Amino acid sequence: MIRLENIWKTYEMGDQKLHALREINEEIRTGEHIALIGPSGSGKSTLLNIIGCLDQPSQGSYSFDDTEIAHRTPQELADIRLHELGFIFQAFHLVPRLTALENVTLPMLFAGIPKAERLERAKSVLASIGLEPWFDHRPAELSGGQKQRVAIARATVMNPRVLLADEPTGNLDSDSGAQVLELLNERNRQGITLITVTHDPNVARQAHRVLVLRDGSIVRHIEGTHLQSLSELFTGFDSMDSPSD
Amino acid sequence: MSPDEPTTRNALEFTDALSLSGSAIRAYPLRSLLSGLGIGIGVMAVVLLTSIGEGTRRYVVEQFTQFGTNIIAINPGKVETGGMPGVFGGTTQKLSIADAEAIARLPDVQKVVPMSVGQARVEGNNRGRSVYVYGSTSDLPEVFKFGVGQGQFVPKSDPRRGTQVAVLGPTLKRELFEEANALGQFVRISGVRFRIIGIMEPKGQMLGFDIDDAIYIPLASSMQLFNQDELNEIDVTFAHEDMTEALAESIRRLLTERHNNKEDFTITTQTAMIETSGKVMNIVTLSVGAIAGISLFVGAVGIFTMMWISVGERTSEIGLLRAVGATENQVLYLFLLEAVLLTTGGGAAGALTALGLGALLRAAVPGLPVYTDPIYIFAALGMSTLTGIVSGLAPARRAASLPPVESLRSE
Repeated sequence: MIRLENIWKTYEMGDQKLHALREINEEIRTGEHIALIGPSGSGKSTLLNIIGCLDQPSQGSYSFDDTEIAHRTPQELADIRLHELGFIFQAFHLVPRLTALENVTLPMLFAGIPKAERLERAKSVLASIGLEPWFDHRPAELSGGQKQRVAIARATVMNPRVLLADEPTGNLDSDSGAQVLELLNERNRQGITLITVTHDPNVARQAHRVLVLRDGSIVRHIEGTHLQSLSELFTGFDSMDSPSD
Repeated sequence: MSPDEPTTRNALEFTDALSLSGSAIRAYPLRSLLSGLGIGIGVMAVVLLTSIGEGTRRYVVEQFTQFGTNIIAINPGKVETGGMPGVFGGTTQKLSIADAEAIARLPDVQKVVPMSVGQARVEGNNRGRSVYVYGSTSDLPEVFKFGVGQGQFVPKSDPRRGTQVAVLGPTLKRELFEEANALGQFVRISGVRFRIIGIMEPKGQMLGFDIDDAIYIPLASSMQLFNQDELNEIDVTFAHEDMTEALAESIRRLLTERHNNKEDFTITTQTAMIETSGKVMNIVTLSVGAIAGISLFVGAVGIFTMMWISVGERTSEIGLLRAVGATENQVLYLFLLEAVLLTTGGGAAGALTALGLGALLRAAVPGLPVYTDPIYIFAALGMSTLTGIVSGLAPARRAASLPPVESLRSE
């Protein structure tokens, strides 16, 4: 479904060239759950942004459903984000002045879906994750876990095929984190491809495959029984970086 | 759906954009109020000041046309050319009764009124008052649309022969005789005795000058009284406004010929007077409007600043909108709409305030002419909307062009 071939992302700073991603070759199949791990500055968020059509690679080819994505117009990328992709962020990114319900209807607003249908869909998604009593609450009146669940509702309300989560449990206590993780896994079981950037071994362990990045390259693929030995790897990262990537 | 297929995206509904942009305005009530206020004050100044300008223009035109538009005035001396009449070569002919009689024989002329004007002390009933004395003929009331309230006006007679009769303006009559009957009584004008034969109807003021505070006597009596050997003015009426130019030209030719081929007189047509005063007033209205426009410009700068800061503060929100699928144009639209909402709202409030203040001014200062043409209100609202577009465009473009990745990173 997602094929990355020889992807480079290079920033030019004066005379110096900074390679955020080097020679990434990877294929992600429909319905997979992939975790991207690695120390800060290893390029995992950059990779997620390129897969999420928020950023463009400097070089290489990215195909989504056998269709080349690189060098598309901003309008076309916006269309792909609207219909195919859903984003979940560590900082939730809810619009503070809008209610939970209004935040969830936001993508549908840009798709020009009529109001009645918007409300019906948003209510049903929020109700399905137990947020019915919080429809009319603004983000400031919600707990961290509730905010992230609203964000998941917003990310899934357009029925995307891929969910991209950047540190989804990074700002949550362990109970809320577990709840959010369970929601994401449930979406994955329903067939949505899930790609998660994480620092949390418990999150990574639930993935089908873990890609380890270092200095912009994928240095290891971990899957199957090897996932159990992940914790050692993270201990190595912690000595190198702070949790906020 | 594959990304290769044309994606189906309906346009962002106007009402939805309105509620989204509206929520942003409501989220910062004080800031929105203050920036809207800048535009509101600007629009209020434009509407109110142009209303006063337009009111004054209408007032002046009304004052000039109260004697009708089919009237031409001829005065001695040439005011439009430089130099002093009679100083350089030749003798200056005086404006005479014979000139008036010659004009009366021109075709299309209806009435001709020769006038002599002076100022003198009028005494009667043991009181005295200094007023304008108009020497004229029996046609004056008809030509100037004056009515006679009591008695009669100066009777028809030879303009070269005076009689000692007088007609009082109502203000002068009230000042001297109060409510008492004045007909048949006597007044002294500069010591000369005149019998009162009539009282004029009230006519009111012209440009602040009380027309009713005057006395009318036969032309010859006035010229004798003030020791004048020429007329101060000849007024000519005619049937149609269209004839104005042609008749003015005939009079000019006739009098030039009679005055040894010298144009030593000035002809003023009513239309020329209205045109001149209209031009002056238009300039006044424009200048006042331009000054008010400056305050509108200052308001626009305020909106620009506010929107620019707002875009900076809401960078991460903009990034989010892009991440959930908003296009650059949709973001541009939302921010532009926000600016337009602020300015149009401020402008509408300003226009309403101007209307209210105008009504208040009319009530408080009855003489002050204030006239708000409805077109000003629409123009002011249109201008506010335009101001929103102009001042909101750069911030909105900035919002739309922010790269989504960097926007999301800013928190």
